[in-house]
Amino acid sequence: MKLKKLFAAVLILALAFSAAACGAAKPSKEETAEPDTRIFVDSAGREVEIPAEIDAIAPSGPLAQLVLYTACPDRLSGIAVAFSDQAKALIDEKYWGMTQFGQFYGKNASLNMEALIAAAPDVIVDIGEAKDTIAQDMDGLQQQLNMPVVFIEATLDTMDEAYEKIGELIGDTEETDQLAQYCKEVSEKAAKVSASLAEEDRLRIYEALGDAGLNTNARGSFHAEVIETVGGINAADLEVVASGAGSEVSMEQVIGWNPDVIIAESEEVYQMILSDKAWSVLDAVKNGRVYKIPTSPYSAMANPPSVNRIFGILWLGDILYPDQYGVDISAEMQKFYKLFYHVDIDGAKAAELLGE
Amino acid sequence: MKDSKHIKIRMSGLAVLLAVCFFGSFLMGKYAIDPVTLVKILLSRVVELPVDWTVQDETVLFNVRLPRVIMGAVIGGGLACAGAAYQGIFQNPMVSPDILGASNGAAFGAALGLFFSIGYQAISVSAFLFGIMAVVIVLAISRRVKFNVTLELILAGIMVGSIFNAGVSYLKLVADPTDTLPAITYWLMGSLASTRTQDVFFAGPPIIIGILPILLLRWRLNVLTMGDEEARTMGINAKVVRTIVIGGATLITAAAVSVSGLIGWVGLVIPHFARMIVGDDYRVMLPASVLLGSSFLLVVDNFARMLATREIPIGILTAFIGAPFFLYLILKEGGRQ
Amino acid sequence: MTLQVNDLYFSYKSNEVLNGISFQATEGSLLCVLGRNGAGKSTLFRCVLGLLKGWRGQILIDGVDASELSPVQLAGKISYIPQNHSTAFSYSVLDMVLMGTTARLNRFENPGKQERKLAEASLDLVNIRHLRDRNFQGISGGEQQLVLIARALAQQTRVIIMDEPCSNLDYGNQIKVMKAVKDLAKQGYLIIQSTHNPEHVFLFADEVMVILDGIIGAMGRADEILSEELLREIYGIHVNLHEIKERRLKFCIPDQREVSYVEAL
Repeated sequence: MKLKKLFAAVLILALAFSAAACGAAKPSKEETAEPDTRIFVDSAGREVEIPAEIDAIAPSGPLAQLVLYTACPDRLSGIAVAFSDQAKALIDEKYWGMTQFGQFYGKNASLNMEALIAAAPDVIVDIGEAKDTIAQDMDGLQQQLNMPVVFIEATLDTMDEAYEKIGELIGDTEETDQLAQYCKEVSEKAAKVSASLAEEDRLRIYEALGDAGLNTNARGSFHAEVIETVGGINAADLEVVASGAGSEVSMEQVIGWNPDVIIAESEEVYQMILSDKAWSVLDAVKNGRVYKIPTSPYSAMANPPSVNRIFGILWLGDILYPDQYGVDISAEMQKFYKLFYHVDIDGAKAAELLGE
Repeated sequence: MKDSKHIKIRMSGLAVLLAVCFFGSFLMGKYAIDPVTLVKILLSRVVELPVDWTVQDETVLFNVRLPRVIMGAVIGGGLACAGAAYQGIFQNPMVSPDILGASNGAAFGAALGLFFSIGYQAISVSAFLFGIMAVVIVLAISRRVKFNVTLELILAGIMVGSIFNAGVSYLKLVADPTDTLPAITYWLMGSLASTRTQDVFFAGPPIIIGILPILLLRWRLNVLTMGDEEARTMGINAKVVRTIVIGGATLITAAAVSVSGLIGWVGLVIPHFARMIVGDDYRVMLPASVLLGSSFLLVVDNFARMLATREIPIGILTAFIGAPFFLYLILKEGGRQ
Repeated sequence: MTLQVNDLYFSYKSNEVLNGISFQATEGSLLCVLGRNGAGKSTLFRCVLGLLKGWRGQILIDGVDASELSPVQLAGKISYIPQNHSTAFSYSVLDMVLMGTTARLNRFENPGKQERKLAEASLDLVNIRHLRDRNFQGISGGEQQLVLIARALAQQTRVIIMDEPCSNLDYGNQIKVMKAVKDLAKQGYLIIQSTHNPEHVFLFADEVMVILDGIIGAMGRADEILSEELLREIYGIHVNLHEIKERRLKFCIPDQREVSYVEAL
């Protein structure tokens, strides 16, 4: 029976221990001088108390990481995930080795909270689409970490508002105003062009993803938003499966749709479409209207669904309706990459990235 | 056979091991707190002490580290207990707590919750309920069977588990690849990274309530390994004992999965380890499994959170460690017989 | 202590196995049950032990209806010694015998000092005290059977049912086990045992019960009721019974006709 007693003792000890230590930490009794704070209202309507000076921001995931990188790269106290090789090809080295915190997914399976707290950022920012439970998720994280956590909504049409919010958050709107302005102009231009197009002038586009180009985002799906925004028609007329991932389609379906334009995500698929016998029957291939989506540092069309798509709007718009959009895509690329990705590229490099 | 004095010494050793792992784990973390400060902060909960630490120190200790270490110990011990118990009632040392489908059901419940974005707490509840439901279905199926009940339970468990597994795969197929799909995937890999205090209160009681009856019935588990019929002639209603054990093990498994995702191999491998140390007698083997399971998961979780800044899902680590060890066991057992 | 069975019927699905078994047995006796494979011996035992439900008739243990007894209560009256079989887990001999004491314990109780004393005493009864700490799986078949007997003794029931205890034992172990069983009967236990060996019946049994087609073909003292005709009815082969007068012992061997191919060589 010694066993039982021993075990019971261990159990009771652990329980008593945890009972004594339960609950959220109460703030220290003696406070060092309270730093200045202000109230920030985030996109979920939450009033969050943040430090007056924001110098260190932690992103909650890759989307936030991208947007924050474009807005205020030097205020990042860490990143969520490592930059991809494609991104590293263009992004400055000094950002590569930043501490990786992991990502927060509602149940933040890979977010290392201790590392996050140790980095002592002034605020943690989540950027993206507003889910139903966003307020709850933010509050939960905030309560646990005892750090301000804010949510900034950013969809394809509201990128400008997102940047304005970021500017408000960091208390410096010089950069963010430029970014907001740019996004706004692009969105407005796309809306104008799209509205002005006659129905019969609209081109049908097929987005070729996956290993064999037979994975695509269906019409109406969130991930093919850019196509509709630009004024095109997504050739993939499928049932949209909830907020579906890529849908697998068959070659027959693609031939049946016979799109006007094909855009391919990967270099291999792009080459394959140009040379493969099965694809050669399509009008788009015959007319030389197959294009490779620029994917460095981030894909212009698909993942991540963030500000990189703003450039995608211009890129696709220039392909589909060059007269209406009237942009010099090479010059725009240089401008966009400098402003958002903080990287200088010359005309030759731009041409290379555009796949010419 | 090992004599009882040796066994007592080993059991004490295991208890000490758990204490060391528990307090040791508490001292570790990506956020550095020196041990003296740590002790002071702990004591400050019961005794008035002058504060010379920061709010962050306290936050890390009580909001992040303590719930996690407690959860790790409780889940590790619980899963090992459930695994040992199942190996007894199914008279098969190759059985794990997942065999009746509780884990797959809970995984489905969680995936469903993540898919519909129902919020943190609700996801755990959904996982817990579906985990229990899976086993209820299995029990209902097996009630219609008169002979070879244990085999039928296992077959029904595999079937029900597969159906829920297919459900999870389907949800992964239609989930948004930007955040929902990775969330589900990460969740399935098993992690203690997101443990909050409320999780400890949500999952802790069911796990402990599940462990208790199994511990109390450990002598009867010995007798059950003789087979249903023989056990009955010695006065044990095998069906009742089995149902209680299944009930307890299901509570443990469903609760564990509902807060930490799928952590495998602990329930399968730790009981073997325990047997190697203290023998097959459930009177000592079961408590030994609990102690060992707790220690094991604490140590593995330390690796999960210390190896790199980004968390490594603990389910991956337990598989990396558990599977080779299991292979070793098979080879060793095969050689012995 | 009396075991009384009245008009016991049992069928597996549509197969009628027991067709009205009635008998009575009292303590202090070794009762051997003879019958061909499938005659119903095991079925009878399992009905009496409460392992089978759905039998019709009456089983009375000291006048108490067995169907009204819970498993624990039944275990306090009848114990069971199975044919030896291997389990996935290994226990010490003492722990195996301790299992027999389970019926005495409260719902969640573990065996204590008293139970341990009981177990050790049971080991003494079959003279295997020296095996106490050995691994059950490491001892010989005969020794294992003795352990199972000790386990039943630890259960402290007056009635013990044994299902073909000698099937897997070598010749010497068979005799040792039967002798131990006979000793117990002499001490007052009622031991009901099924066997395939008429020799053992002649050597050891106090009474023999023959089951033919689901009913009791005959019951009584072995040397009185076991005739060549009866044995032929049971087993379907011709046998010869001979007697060793000095030992007042009968034994049987197959008839010449059954083994003629040997002698023709």
